Amino acid sequence: MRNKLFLILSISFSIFLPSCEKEYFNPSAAGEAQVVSSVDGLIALANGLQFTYSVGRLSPVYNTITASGFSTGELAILNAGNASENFLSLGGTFVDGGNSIVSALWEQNHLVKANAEILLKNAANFGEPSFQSAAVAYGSIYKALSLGNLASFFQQAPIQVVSKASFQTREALLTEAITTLNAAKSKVLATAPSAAFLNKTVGGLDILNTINALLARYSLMAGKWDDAISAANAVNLKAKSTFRYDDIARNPIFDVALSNVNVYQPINANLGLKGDLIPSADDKRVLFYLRSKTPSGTGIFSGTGFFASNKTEIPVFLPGEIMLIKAEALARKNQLADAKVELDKVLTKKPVDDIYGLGADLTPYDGTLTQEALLREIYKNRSIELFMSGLKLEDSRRFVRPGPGAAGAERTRNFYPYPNNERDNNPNTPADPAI
Amino acid sequence: MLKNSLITVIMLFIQLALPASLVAQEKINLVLKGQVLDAQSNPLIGVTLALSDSRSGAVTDLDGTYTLNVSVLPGTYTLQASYVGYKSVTADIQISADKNLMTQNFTLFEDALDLDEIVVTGSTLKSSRRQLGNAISTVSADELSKTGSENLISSLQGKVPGAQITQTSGDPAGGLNIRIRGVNSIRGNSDPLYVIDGVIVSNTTNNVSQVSVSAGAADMGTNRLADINPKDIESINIISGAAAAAVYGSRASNGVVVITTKRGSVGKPEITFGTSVNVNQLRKKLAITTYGKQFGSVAQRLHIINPFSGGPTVATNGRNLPTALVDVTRYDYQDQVFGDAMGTDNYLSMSGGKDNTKYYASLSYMTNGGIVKNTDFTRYGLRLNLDQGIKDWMKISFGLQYNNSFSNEKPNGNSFYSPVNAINITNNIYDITKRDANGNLQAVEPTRVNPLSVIEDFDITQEVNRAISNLTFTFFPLKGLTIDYVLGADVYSQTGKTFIPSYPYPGVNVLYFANGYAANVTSNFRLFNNDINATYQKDITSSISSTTALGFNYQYSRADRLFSAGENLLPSISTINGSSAVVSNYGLDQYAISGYFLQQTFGVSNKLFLTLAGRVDGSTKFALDQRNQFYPKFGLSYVLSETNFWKNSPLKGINSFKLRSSWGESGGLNAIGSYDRFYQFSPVVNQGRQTFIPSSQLANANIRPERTRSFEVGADASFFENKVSLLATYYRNNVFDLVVNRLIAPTEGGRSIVDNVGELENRGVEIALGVNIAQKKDFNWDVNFIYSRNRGKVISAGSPLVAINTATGAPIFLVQGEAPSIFFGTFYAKNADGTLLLDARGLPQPEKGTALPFKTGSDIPAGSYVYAGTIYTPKRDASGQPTGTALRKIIGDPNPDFMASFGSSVRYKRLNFSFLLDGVFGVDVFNADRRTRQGVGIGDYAEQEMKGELVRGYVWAIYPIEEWRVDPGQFVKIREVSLSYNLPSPLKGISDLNVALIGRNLFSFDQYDGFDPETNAGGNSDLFRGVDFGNVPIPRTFQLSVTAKF
Repeated sequence: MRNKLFLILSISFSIFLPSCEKEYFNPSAAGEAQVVSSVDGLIALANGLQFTYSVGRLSPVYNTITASGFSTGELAILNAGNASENFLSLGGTFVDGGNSIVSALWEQNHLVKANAEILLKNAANFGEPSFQSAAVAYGSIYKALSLGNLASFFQQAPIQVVSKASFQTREALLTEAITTLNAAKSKVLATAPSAAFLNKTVGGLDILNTINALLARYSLMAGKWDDAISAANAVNLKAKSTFRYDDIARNPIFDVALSNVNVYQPINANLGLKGDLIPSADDKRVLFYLRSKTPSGTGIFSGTGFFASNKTEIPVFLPGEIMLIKAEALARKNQLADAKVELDKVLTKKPVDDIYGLGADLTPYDGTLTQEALLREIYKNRSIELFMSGLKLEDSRRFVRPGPGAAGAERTRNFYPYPNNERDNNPNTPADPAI
Repeated sequence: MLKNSLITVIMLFIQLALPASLVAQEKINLVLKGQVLDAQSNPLIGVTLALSDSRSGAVTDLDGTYTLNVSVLPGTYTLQASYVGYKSVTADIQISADKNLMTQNFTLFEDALDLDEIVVTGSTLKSSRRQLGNAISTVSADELSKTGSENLISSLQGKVPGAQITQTSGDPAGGLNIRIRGVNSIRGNSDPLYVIDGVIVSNTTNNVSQVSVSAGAADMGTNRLADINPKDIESINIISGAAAAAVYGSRASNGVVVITTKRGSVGKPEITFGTSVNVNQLRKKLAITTYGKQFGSVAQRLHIINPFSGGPTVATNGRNLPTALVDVTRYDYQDQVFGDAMGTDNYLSMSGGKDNTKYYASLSYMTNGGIVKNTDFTRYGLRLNLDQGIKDWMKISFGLQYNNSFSNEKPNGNSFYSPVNAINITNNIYDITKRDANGNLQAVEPTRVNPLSVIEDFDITQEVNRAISNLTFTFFPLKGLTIDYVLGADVYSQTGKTFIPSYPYPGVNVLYFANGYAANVTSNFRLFNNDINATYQKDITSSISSTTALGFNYQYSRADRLFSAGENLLPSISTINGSSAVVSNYGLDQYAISGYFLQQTFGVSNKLFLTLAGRVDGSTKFALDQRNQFYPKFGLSYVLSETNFWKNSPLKGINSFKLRSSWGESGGLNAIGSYDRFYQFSPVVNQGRQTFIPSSQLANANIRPERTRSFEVGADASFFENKVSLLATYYRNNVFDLVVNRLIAPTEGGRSIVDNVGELENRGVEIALGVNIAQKKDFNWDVNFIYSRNRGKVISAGSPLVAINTATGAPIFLVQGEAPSIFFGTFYAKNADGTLLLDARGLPQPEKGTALPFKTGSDIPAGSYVYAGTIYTPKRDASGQPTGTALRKIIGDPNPDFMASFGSSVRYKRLNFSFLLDGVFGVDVFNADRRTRQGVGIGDYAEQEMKGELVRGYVWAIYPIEEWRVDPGQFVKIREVSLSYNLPSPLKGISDLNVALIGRNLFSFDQYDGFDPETNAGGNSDLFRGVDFGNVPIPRTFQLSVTAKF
């Protein structure tokens, strides 16, 4: 009996012992190979791009609007305990490589770019050309957005996704964004993006209009006036293109900041503008972005506009931006009368005529018709029309507004320092900009 | 595959080796009797008598007598009498057919070092202390009975050299953190491995109830050893260093806590009934001002630091702060949040045995109230231990514990709506008890939560059902050979419910769930272990003995978790069903470990022992080609006092003296996630559309365990006729291949990768001194002193400076070359003479200057300093004021310089008095709440600003200076005071009645500006330590208990 018992025990023990090659997989996550090998996996990845880019406090949407807002005086910090926001509002050398907003801005745009590359690299896995077209469009739009953001806030950044990446100038980043968008545009024009694909996405993005609008935006940033005008002309101003939200995937600016009085709110009834840039008292756009022109008892101005609730959609671009891109490009080409026509479209736009209800409803421009005066008016209108859009730091530099240290400085930084996690782990990281 | 074949071969070998001849001979039944006395001829109660047939045993009764019924083959046997604190004595017994009654008396002599005490060193392996090259500390049932705590881990506070035990929250279901010889891991926890009767049990903190808060690296909630009833415990051995490495290999690096539960012994049934009642009280209140003034206006929020328009102001650091005072009425919300709480503990056990059957059974019901109103913890449970001899050569032990633990909780720290933080963060000018006509509470300061809403309306509960069971087969196939087979299982389920109703008043920050929040979380946990150990003892020659242990084990862990939470609740629905936006997810974590070991001990003349061991194991957590980890171990022990040289030298005044040393390697896998070797794409909830997010953590296909190389050397000695004992140990532990979630350049396409790139070091000294001042029949007085110091150092953490994410504002960093988790932040600018450098208005200010990359080996100019590859240089502008960026340096260290405890116990006749003082020295706490109180305007600095005793703007000026929030965390606590009286046979049928009055945490000697420096918002996290952020303070407890034996 004893021997039998031992035999039974030894056999049962041997069964209990698994071999060393056992692998346990996570049933709640998938591997890259599994994801990119199915159509639904790639569509889910496209939705992931939208999610990473637009949802949460780490998202580029939150961080571009917040960083640009603080560096150009659009926003007021309400609780200094929000250290990174506080240091951004103080600006200058208070903004260092450890600032979490600057780090997130850098990191998340690079992650979106890297993830977009996974989609672009695998778009060919779709047999159907219309699916390929949709996948390339999605990948390209997010890749271009992340490159454009990096070029807006940093002097240099890598384009390639590799270890110890080498840095390119911001001009090279813009060129890459434009090239990517142009390639996507020809793909989309050749084969319309699959409706079956788009129906499975969160939606909100009008693909061709978004590509054209971003082409116009980045061509303007790159100083390519003609390209900017032609791309802007191709945009349908009556088509919305937005990031969508709901009670779970929330509008990040509302969720983090405008829903409460603990992080930040718009700085004042002039949207932070001073001197000859102060909005006209009749400008209806101010009350689009503010709940009231009079502050609360504690001096706080509550913002609204595209950040009115968890569910409020945030536009990828505004019709007014397209008009102002045209106005600016024309003005810079010294076609002042044509520029005034485009500028007046923005000044006289009534809220009801705007797809988002945003309109100045003012009289046409009646100032002097010099390039300098027109550009100042265009900048003023960009500052109002595109309030809290994340574009103002770039605008302030491009319009050569008084920089940090100058009299009447309108921004507290020109470019941001490179985040510590990049510098600590990539020896190719260049020196930080002085300011 | 190789391993399986090996096992089968060895099993077959064992079977073949079993001689068939053992079964044949005739057995003799005989009664052995006798008495055991000490040197003063007093009877010793509870001495264990064991016959060398390995099966027969007995325990002495009140008169010191024993009766042992044996049924053995004729031959020579040894009978051993052993007793804790005394040297074991053996006697040879000749058993032959002509005698059926024998008498054998013993006299035992004290041994302050317990050299012959048998300790469990892991699984079923046992060893006498004499043989061990490691320090092992033991805590007995008697010590556990005098603590006034119903929690096993907190009962150990102040009793274990080398262990830092911190009660991180005063919540009755709060956590306890135990670290043996420092922190051994930075990504995983450094919690030791817990083994109860051979079953590996979980002490994890699986948070199912505190889920509304996202708190960075914090690890909040109850750690599950709270399910164990200390009254069921016979002894606890704390094995630090490499001693347990052979058995537990890749899990041994944090030390092993071996817990042995009570078992029955042959004799008439003994019934014990215990009941106690306790009161918990808030020990100390915060300094909250009730000064009836406020700056600016009544509506001015954060009146000390917020800008103001509409009245006189003074400009301070970019803000126009109001200077005029208005009248307000201030309240102290502590009166509404805290209250005295009661607890009861009832316990019934029965133990006994007859012939081959021994049993122990217990039933307990404990409930304890928290000092935060409406919090409590209830635990009921039962335990059954059964030992059954089956045959001469086989014994089966069975153990089962079942318990149900239930807690009513409130939000822990790390949020502004925890009860304690609601006190800190809310301007106290509102009468929070005021209600409207419907009985609803009223709004307080905009965005904030009325603290009474938290107390009255939040409903947070946790329930655990747990079974720990073991089945142990023991075989004695040959003389000297013991084979144990342990099947252990620890299985529990947790259910957590959180309900935050929408507030009956407007204006609450949506981040505090203005529209209501509900979460329902369930988790199931399963841990199996299978151990087979064979031990063979043989005397090779008359002076050389050998013990060989060979073993295999396999462990499997499975934990799943279903989480659902939602906001925007429908009125009167308290579960997620009422939410319009539910987020759910399911997680499954599984891993297995298997390995085998061989351990060989040689003994020379029972004085010198050498142990060699090796283990090979692997876990499914490791990369495929990293699953054959080898862990070697050496141990040396030399009982010098028993050598002739010693006995004939002047050193003989030292009664016993043992030198010991060990070196070994062990592994740690807590830091490795079960799926870290994969690049994972995770689904997220995204507006009803399928969405994958590629992980920002890249895959590591080469991940392997952390490897700790431990060295220790020590001596145990006793002096003055064994009246004084001293144990001293020096150790050095180096953790290599430290697992770090290493940040990578985001341009690589990720944020981080889990990688074996770090290195940690811990060095320290442990000293335990015991003095028996008096030992008489009616009077006994013992004094104990324990001292431990540990120096931890991060040699490398993957990056020079690693920030630990917290929700508290504490600047916790791992800085290369410094102790782990230090506070690295902004600090006061000072003059050359050390006084504060004040600005034009006389306000302190942060130090500023430049922070530039530093090339190792370069000169460091005077005034500059270097941390982690950066050189910091303070700068002054033309007017002598700081200029540049705000500089950082080490401003505090949550690692203590040393810990010490002092205890004494005095017995006069039947009256016992004992106390324990427990102190932690040279430690800092990041007091996040202190600044909060001042900024809100309810603290002592705020009061001084209002009264003009501080310059207006003072608080705002020092607001960004993190050094301000670092407080001395040093304390000495009156941890335990116990007074008890024993009544022998007070009534017929009661053999013993004990009445005790016990106090716990009665007083703390400290200079801390808060409730209690023993705290941690990070809960049981190892990285996030020494932070006070809304934590529940540890109460003062008085307990009255009555224990009767029948």
